[in-house]
Amino acid sequence: MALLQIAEPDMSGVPHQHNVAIGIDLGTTNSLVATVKSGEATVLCDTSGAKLIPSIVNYGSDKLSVGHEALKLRVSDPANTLVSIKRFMGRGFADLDPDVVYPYKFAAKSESNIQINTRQGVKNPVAVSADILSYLRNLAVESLGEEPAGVVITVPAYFDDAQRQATKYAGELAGLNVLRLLNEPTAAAIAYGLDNKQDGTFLVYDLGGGTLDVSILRLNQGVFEVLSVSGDTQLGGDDFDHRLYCYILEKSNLSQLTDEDTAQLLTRAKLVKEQLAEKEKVAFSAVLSSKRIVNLTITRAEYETIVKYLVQKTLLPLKKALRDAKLDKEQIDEVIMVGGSTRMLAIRQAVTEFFGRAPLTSINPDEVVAIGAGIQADILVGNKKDDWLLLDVTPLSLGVETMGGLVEKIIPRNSTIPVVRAQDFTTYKDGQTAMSVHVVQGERELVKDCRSLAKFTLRGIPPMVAGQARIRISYQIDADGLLSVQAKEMTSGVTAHIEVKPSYGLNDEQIGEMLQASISHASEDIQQRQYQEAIVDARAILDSVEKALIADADLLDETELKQINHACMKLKIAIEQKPVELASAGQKIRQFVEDLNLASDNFAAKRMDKAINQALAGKEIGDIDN
Amino acid sequence: MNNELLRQNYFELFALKQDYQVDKHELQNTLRRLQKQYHPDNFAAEDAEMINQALVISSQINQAYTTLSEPLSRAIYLLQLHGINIDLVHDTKFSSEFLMAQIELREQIAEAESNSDFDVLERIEQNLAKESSALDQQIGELFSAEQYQKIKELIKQLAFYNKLEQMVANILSSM
Repeated sequence: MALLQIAEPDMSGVPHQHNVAIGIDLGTTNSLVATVKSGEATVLCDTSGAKLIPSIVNYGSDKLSVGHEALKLRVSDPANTLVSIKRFMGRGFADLDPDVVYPYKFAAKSESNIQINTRQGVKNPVAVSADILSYLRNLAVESLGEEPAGVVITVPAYFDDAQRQATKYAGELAGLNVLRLLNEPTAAAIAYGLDNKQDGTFLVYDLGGGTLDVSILRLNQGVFEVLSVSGDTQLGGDDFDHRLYCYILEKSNLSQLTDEDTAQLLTRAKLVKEQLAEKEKVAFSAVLSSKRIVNLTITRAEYETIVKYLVQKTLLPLKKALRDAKLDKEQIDEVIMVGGSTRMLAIRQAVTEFFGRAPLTSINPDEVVAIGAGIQADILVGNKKDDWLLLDVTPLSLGVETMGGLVEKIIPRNSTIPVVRAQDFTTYKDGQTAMSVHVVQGERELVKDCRSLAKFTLRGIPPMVAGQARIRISYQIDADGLLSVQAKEMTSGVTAHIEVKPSYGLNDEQIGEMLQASISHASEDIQQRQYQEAIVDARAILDSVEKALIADADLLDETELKQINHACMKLKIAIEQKPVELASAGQKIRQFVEDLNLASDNFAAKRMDKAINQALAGKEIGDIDN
Repeated sequence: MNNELLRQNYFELFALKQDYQVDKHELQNTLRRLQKQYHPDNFAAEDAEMINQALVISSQINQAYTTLSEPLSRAIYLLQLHGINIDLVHDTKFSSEFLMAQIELREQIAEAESNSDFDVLERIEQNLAKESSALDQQIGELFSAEQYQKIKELIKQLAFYNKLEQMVANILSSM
């Protein structure tokens, strides 16, 4: 058997292929898709030419509508038309604002997640977001003529781990290759910063439909550092709509509205708000289902009075972010406005007043996040070898529960990611063989005031005197801001070891149901896609292993080389065969990909070592020269 | 995991002289240079194993940076390299003079907090920062004089001041 396979000439001779990558701004109110075409970031349009796709899904009796289609059904079918679903991501029923009236039929009032009864069965926020993302993915395929190789999805910087996990999972459920979750303000700064290529300190004020995010970033020598993030996950443009809606009810002495009327008035209130950005006063009129006519004129001054409290509330996170970054407001070079809600004059004035300078608004505030995400996706997928890097931080502290319901912080907020931190704990009873580990996120000192992310038990601790065992709990946050936790008993030779990924507020059964649902929906379609994806993945890994072998086969011993070659052969044969049955063929390919991954694990490690040694050697020489 | 980079101590990793005095500017520049090489985003197109290695190395670089950039963690780390470990949790022996001063400070903070007195809290914050930087200075001098045992006491005090500073900052940012 040949020890080394040489790539076929046509494989090695391919010029660098341009991979299509997209950035998705998955917003509370609207979503957008952007891509980089011939070096220029652009927002993609749907068939009707619209760039802003309402983040709305209608579960009709015979069809699923997303975006503008679904928006049209909002008034006539509010119970099955899910809007602002992002607010529910990774949240439990207890997290909902009791003052807000939703037109939905909530299923179980579960602690850990929100479920809504629709005509198409029970839906949770992840499934609904996946439906929106699928729609956006199709839009991209239609517009670009090919499947995107990778996608960057933006999330509010203030999203906690459960919310991030939920978002990433929704992307995977929609069949997307999620390269990265990117904080929205960071995306905005990328869109502006890379335009100007100027070093400086930016503050991003992002007021979207449902959330407020404030981030302070520094661009220096091609590295974007996030200095601090702050915000309010329960404050956004919707609250301004809601405030106006309540005001309309008050002024017109309305109460006990039907769901349809509520939806209608909310939609109208939003429109009035938007018009007030241009006009001094707006006439409001609506006909309710009782045939009652509501007529009202609202002036800008009136509006600004009723939302004054909300505007002021948005300034608090600014101060906090400055404080965390240890900066004065004079040290901010530019203020960037993001999100449709920053069109409100009251907001622009308040921010201008606070900083004593007008904020940047040259890029459309609705599009700036998607554009930044598109640029980042283009870089990550390997189209652009930019000497430019993003160093993000974790927005909330992560800790572990200790005796007495107290939180011991392991990773403090605003730590640069990726990050690994470990802390040692011990047993408190003689002969204790198990320890329960409770992972929490938040700034408060008591467990009950923080968000519970995961609980697991470390078993198999050898019996020892209390205080003798050394249990190391380590937290790892990756570049997406996602957490994994390990607990390990260190003193004895025996090490018990467990790894958890925090749930996104869904239990296994629900995840199973969701997967089932997504498969039964369009089973054939999905199988075809999964098969195709398996082939694409297989080609990618074959390509990279073969290239690696050409470069570094000398790092391997004979057995390793044989194993890798064997795994390559198996995989090559599998992808050449005509599939008899798509599902099993896809599965087989996946299995072989996994085998090849396993066989080449050690190879990757050796290559990394080599690369690093070379880099270090290079550095030392440089140092001597200096 | 088996490579040279992870075996280096933080000073070596950042190509710095093993000394308490570090140039913050240089530290930042080195962070950027290292992360440009090892951050997982540079390996986004590579296989999972490669990305994972990068994740570990990149985390280590961040950890080194954080440790070296703050006086308290830098002092503890440097002392450790000299073979002296500090147990901040259990080693709570302090002079009664120091303890009294701490209690008094805490009372002042609690009082200002209950009065929501922003100005007083800011003044306390400035005073704490002054104390910390004085300790920072002394620790630096003792490191130069290689009087490591004496440093231990000062580090414990610095930890106290840092904690209070954090406390005041939290109160201020939630006001």
